[in-house]
Formats: sequence, C-alpha cells, structure tokens
Amino acid sequence: MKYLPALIENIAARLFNVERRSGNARNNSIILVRRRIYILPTYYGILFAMLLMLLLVGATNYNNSLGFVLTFLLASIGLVSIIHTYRNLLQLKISAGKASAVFCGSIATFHLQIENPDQRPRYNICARFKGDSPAIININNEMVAIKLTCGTTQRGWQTMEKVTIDSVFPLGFFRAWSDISLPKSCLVYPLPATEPLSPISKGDGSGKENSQNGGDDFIGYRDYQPGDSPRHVNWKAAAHSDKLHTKRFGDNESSELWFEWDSLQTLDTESRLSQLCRWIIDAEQNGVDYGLRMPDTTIHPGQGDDHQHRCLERLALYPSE
Amino acid sequence: MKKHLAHIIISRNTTRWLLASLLLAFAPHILHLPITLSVLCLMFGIWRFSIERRSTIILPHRIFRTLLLCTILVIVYLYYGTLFGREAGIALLACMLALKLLEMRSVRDYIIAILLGYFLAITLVLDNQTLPMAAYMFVVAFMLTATLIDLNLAQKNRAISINLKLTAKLFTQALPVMLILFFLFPRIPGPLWSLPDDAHSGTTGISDEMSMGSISNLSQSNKIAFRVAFEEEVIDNNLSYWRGPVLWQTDGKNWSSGDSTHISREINYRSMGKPINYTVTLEPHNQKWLYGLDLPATTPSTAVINRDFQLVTKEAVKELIRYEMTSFSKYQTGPLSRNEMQRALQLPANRNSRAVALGQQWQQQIQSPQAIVNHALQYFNQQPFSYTLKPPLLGNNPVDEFLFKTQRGFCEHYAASFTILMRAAGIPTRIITGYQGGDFNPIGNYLIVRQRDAHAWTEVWLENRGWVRVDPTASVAPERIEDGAESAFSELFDRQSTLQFNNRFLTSNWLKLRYGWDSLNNSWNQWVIGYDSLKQSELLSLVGIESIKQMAIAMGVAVVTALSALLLLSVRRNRQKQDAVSLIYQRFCQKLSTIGIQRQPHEGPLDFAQRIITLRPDLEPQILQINDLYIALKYRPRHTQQQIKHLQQQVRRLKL
Repeated sequence: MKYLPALIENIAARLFNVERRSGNARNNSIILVRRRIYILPTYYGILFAMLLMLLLVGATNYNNSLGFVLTFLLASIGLVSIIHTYRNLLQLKISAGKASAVFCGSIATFHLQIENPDQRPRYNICARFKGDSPAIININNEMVAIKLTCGTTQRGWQTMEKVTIDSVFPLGFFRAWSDISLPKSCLVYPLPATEPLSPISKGDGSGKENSQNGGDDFIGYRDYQPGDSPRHVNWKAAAHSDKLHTKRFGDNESSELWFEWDSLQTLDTESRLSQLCRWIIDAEQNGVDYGLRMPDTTIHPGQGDDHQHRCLERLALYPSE
Repeated sequence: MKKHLAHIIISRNTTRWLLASLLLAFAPHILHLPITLSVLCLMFGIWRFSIERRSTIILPHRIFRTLLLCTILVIVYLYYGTLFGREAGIALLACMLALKLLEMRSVRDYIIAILLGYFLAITLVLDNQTLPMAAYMFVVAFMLTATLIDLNLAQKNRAISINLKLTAKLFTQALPVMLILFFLFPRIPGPLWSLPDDAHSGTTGISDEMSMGSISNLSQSNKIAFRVAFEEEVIDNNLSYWRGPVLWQTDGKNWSSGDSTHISREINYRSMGKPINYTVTLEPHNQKWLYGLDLPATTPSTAVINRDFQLVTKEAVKELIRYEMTSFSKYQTGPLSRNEMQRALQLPANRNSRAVALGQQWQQQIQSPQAIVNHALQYFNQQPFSYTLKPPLLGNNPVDEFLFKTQRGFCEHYAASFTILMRAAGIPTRIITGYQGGDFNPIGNYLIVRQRDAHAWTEVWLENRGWVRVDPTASVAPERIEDGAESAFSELFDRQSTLQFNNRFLTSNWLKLRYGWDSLNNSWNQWVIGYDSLKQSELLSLVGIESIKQMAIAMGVAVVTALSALLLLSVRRNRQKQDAVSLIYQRFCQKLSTIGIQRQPHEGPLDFAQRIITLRPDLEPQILQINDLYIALKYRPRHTQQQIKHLQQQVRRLKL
C-alpha cells in the first residue's frame, strides 16, 4: 500500500503517454507493447502438436490414464511456453542509435539499443533485417547495444529497413516477433570515382594545380580515411596503435581548390557526383583547402571532417534526374 | 519456418543433457528388451558420448549407419516375429532413437530426438501405472524439457541452475493447466481400433475353470485383486465372500461353468436384512466378469447379472475400473429349473467311484438334505483333513485320492470333493470361485482383497431355502475364514518374508506404513488411473456438464482463464519487482520533463543532476539532496524504509 501513489502515477503515465501506447516512433524508440507482438507456432511447434496427437491416440487406445497425464502435461507445457515466449519480448524498449554516413557500396551500420525494463533476464532474442542472419542477445536487467548492417546501393538518405525482433525461447515451439520501423536514416555519399580526372577549375585562379598525389615532399601524418592509397598508410605505426595513419605528401604551400559542377559537363549526373566526391576526398587527404560550387549552392573553401561532410552531404542529396 | 532456430549453436553440454535424459527414459526398458538390442542401444549412447569428448565431432558414415539400421530391423524381426505390435514397436522406437544419436548434427535432429524421447516416456507407463512409475515419468519429461530449453538458450557458458529453474517454473505453471485438461478433456472410450494381442499381457487372477491346484497357485501372490470401500461399516470377515464364476460342469478333475447361463432381466431373489452399499475398484484381470459381495442386488452400468448371480461384462476388464454396488448377505433364492437341476446333479461316469458311493450311502442313511450337508461338514472336520498350500499331486480320480488317501488340500479340493459327495447324495450343488476375506486398511478405511485371498466354496440347493452357501474349508480350517488367508498361512509367510520384526512397536509402525502406502495407492487408483470416460461423465454431470460439447467448452474456458491469469500474474509480479526507489526517481524525472528537461537514456543520475543545475541554478540544493538520497538508496546495500519515505517527500515537495 505504501507504494500505491507511485504505482498509480506510473500506471497513469503508461496510460496517457502517447508515445508509449501507440508505439509511434517519434522519439527514435519503440516499446514492444502487447499489440505489437505477434506469435505463431514454428515448424517444430507443429511437429510437437503432431506428437501430442499421436500420444493422445495412444493413450485413448490403451485407455491409459498415465498416458493422458503425460500428454496433457506436455500440452500444458507447450501452452505455458506461449506466455514465456511472448513475455520474452514484452516491454522491451528498442531505440535507434547513431548511424554514421558511408560511401555508396559499402556497408551501412545501424546501432540499436535494446533495453529490458524488468528484473527478469530475456534470453535468445534475435534482431535482424529481413533476410539477414540475426544478431542474438541475452539481456539481463540492462541495456544492450547491437549493430545491424545492410548494403548500400544508392546515394542519399537510406532509411533503416524494418527490423524484426523475434524469439523462440524457451522451447522453440512458438515464435514471437515484432516488425518495427524506426525513423532512422543513414546518409550515403556518392561512390567515389576510381579514376579521378584532374580538377580543371582552379577556383578564382589563385589556386595552384594540384595533382591527386600531392607533391613529392612528405609533410606529415593524418588519420586514415576511406579512399586513401594503401601505399601511403604508415603500417609500422599501425602495429602500435589501433588507428591507421596516412602519410601526407605535398607542397608545403597551402593551396585552394574549387571543385565545380559545371566543369564536368561531358558526364552524366551520377558520374559528375562521383568525380566531385573523389576530388573532395583527395583534397581532404592532402590537406588542401577546397570549395564546392554546385548549381544551387556554393560551399566556400575549407578543410576538416565537418567541411568534408558538408560537401559530401551536398553531393549525396543532390537531386537525381 | 525451420530457419527460426537455425542460428542456434549446439553446445556439447546440450548433447550431454540429451544423452542423460534419454538414458533415463530408456533405463526401465533395458531388462524388457532382448539383450542384444539393449546392449546395442547402450553402445550407441556411449559411442556418441565419446564422440562428444573429441575435439572435432566426426559421426559414423551414412552407409555404416544404414547397415546398423538393417541389423536392428533383422534382430527385432527375429526376436518378435514382426515389426509391428506393442513390444516390437517399443523395441524399434528405442533402437531408432539410439541410432539417431549417431547422426545428430542440426537443431532439427536434436529436437526430433527429444520428441522421440517423449514418446519413449509414454511407453514406460503402458503396463505400469503405479505411483512410483508416474513419478519416474515426470522426471524423464522434466529432463527432456530441460534439454530442450538448454538447446534454446543462446548462452555459451550457462549455469545449469538457470536451465533447471526455468524448467521447474514451466512445470509448476503447466500443472494447473494439466489438471484442467486431465479432468475436462472429453475422453472417448477406447480402444479406437483392436489392440495387438500382446496389449494386456501379464494379468493374473481367477479363471473361469478350476482344477485341483489352480487356486493354490494364486495363493502366494500378494498382488491386489480389488479394493472395497464400504459406505457403512465394514463387513465381517466370515461374510466377506466375493462372488466370481460359478462352476457346474465337471469331468471329475476339471470344473467349468458349462452351458452359458442365461442372463436374467431382473434379480429375482428375496432379500432380507440391511442392504450393504460399497464401491469396488477392480484391478484389470483380463476376464469378462466383475466381483460382487454375496449376493449382488444391483448391477453396475458396465455389467449385467446372470442367473448364477454372477456379474458379467461384455468386454474383458483390461483397465482398472470402479463400480458401485449393493448386496444383501441374507437372501432366499427361488426354485430350480429342470435344466439347472440336471446340471447341479451332473456327475462324471467312472470317476471317483468311492466318493460317489459314500455320497449315495449318506443319502440312504440320512433323511433330510440339511442333515446330509451337516454330516458331510462333520466328516471333514472329524477326519484327519488338513489345510495346506502345497497339496500332494493327485491322479485320475482326484477326489477319491484326496478324500481317502492324502487328505491334505486347499480350498478347491474341499469344494470339489464336497460337491461330488453332495451330488452323489442327490443334493443340487455348485462351486463358486472368487475371493474370501481381505485386509482392512484402517488408514484409508477400505478392504484390500489380494490374489492370495482367492477361494472356492459351494452352494447347495435346499427346498424352501434356495441356494445356500456352504464352505467346507471352514470346517477344516476355520481360521482361514475368520481371519483370512494370511493368518492361515502365517507360518509360511514368516518364512518367506525377509523382514522379521520381533519388536511389536516396529511391527505396528511397519503395518501403518504399509497401510498408508496402500491407501495412497488406492486414492491414486481412484482418481488418476480409474478416471475414464465413464467416471468423467459421472463426475462432470454433478456440476451440470452433460455432453461432450459442453465439456469441450468448459475445458476451453478453463484453459484460457488459467493462461490469462498466469500472464496477468507474471506481468504484475514484474512490475512489483521494479523497486520503489526507481519508481520515485521515475516520478522525479517526469516532473522535470514538464519543464522541458528530459533525461537522456545515456545520462546517469549524476550527469543529469549536473545538467539540471546548469539549466536551473535555483533548484540546486533540492536537486542535490534528491540525487544524493537516490544514489545512496540505489547503490548502497543497506537502507531503511524511512529513507525511502524521505526521498518520496523530497520529490513531492520539489517545486519547479
């Protein structure tokens, strides 16, 4: 009785909290409430039911009371296991974490957090995108993070596919599942061109022509980025740390480059974007200030991860024809 | 749909669990199977066990396994002469299961092995439905289920206790549902098709024929024939005659009922005295009759009564049955038909001539039939006759040899000789077989009648009185009738029993224990083994459930109710487990969210407090106090109710 006010408040919160009730994922998270969980027998469940029929016929035929006892015992265990399977998913809270941007063609990773609000542990819970092999977890009274991956084929925003959370625990005769879609997307940059052309435009004319390899002088290290030539990776240092570093070559003088949409008029849109993407990556690698001039926007020269992301994002979201 | 379990990695522990539980299911069969098959099955198990110990699991080749399969089929066929039927079926099932061990690889194989294991478990109780066997079957089912759960637990290094706890939970929760199904599931009276011949082997009891020595075979068996619960007081031992087959026809050596006796529409005798109401729980004896106290006045619904006052059933009694009866111990039966008179006086020609001569001599010397009967009984009493379990073998004229030579015999000797003497003296006589006496169980308040209580006595037909029971054995060994078979042969039983209690206290306690155990078995028989379609409809009609349809509905409703109750209960228990402190803190967070400060999922209480203070510096003292209290309550082991109350007050007072 002591906790009654708190309990009532808690129940009231559950009742009127729209986000919780509807499972509407405005908040990047979904609670697996009753209505969201479906449950059906598995192939083995059907096999088990057939065995029960057989036992029942046997017990009837021999008028064997203990045979009935065993048959009904197994049947009840099967029935009770429905509740266990169902409760194994009930009230799990699934929230989407970050999903870092990737280049087209590589694997996008979505982070999911599954939280168990109850004291009892949940066993053998699978999370998967349709058709993929699942990530299997056991959750004690805690939160568990899992990663789900999927391939990318198109630049732009790739929304997370429906995630199937399911479990056959404890007997494997029933499968409870819930398909959830969280409003989470992963930005997919265009595929960098493999054979980069030299950037033709030198911006305002003040920039120097810069080959993709930079100059011949070694000017220092920076963090490895996708697209770096393996020949430039400092492999010796890689043995000591968990990060890869790329050797930078170039002229000591800093230069400024302008990458222009209009300079690539001979190519179609996607190839243009790929080309621009490659230039941006290379320029960033070489520590050159670079700017991007697109038909609708202009990004002034700069450097660094944020700058690169802004440029690549522009390319990724460029309207396709 | 198979793919849903495809990701499961089978650990070696699971295999060990499976091997252990299958061994448990197989163990009681070891002695019943042909020795070759038992050894083969055990060998396969050991083989698999040793395979599991190696680093890589290499199973025997497919061709080899097929060869093994063929060998097994041949052995089973050679031994049983068939591949079907009950015994051969069980042998095949056990061997297939053992062979399956050698090819188990995928989750599917494991699950099929477990399901077959359940099947093996039911074969355990086909001919042994005792209480200990039921317990054993439960253990087997428990172990197999634990194996199944082990298979479905995705943890690599799991503790056994998790698994066992879960299984125990599942079983406890399944128990009420099981009871509902057991009592309410509409039972169809079996069998659905004719059973193989070996379906009910090994039942003992009285047969419908008697020869000298046939009953004394039974008298060493302590097996229970039936139990009787009396509605009023328990009947005296000297009235406790349980009527079975009535024998008329004899060739001088063997006795049988002869022409089939007509079934009478109504029970026509004049009953006197008080009716005796009782319920009999009869063990299966594979014969087409029931036993009733002399003389039955009603018939159970499964039987009819014939003119010999014998309860006859249509089908042989192959399962334990229970029936209610009324009898009268004082009665007067009507006149004899001509046919009956002939049959009751029938004597074989050229046999037992000395006995026949003696009977005829009595008929001439003594006037009234009643006096002849008394004279015969006196004859048995005064001549040096003795009552023994081990009578000497008799030749072609057994009655003559017994009466004038050996003079040592069992109840059937006395009954047969008496009948021959009476028939020779012109008195219609017949032999009744059945049981006499029994032990009274003071704990369960019922009578236990065992095979050793099997008995044969006679009935003579006297003018104006009808059939009158005469037990010639009583004049030789009255204690057999007064105290039952056990006391008559107490010497023998003492010698046979390995436990000798000189101490009175021990003896009485031992008896108590024995009666207690039997009483438990009796209730088990009444409520579990004896619960069939008949009893079900009887019981359920008490609560107004008459038809199968109503039964099905009641069962459905009850099962759904039980499952929903279980679901509600378990969800509520989980809510309660979420402790009070967390609930209060949750309220605190909700309160703050109303002013737009949301606690992020990654934020610990300390970080959250810090953020609140930077956003709302005016709340600092209150927030810090609440936070300190919360952390102390949540993460330190000891705290008092007062502290919780304090935290609650603080949160309530927080003004934003």
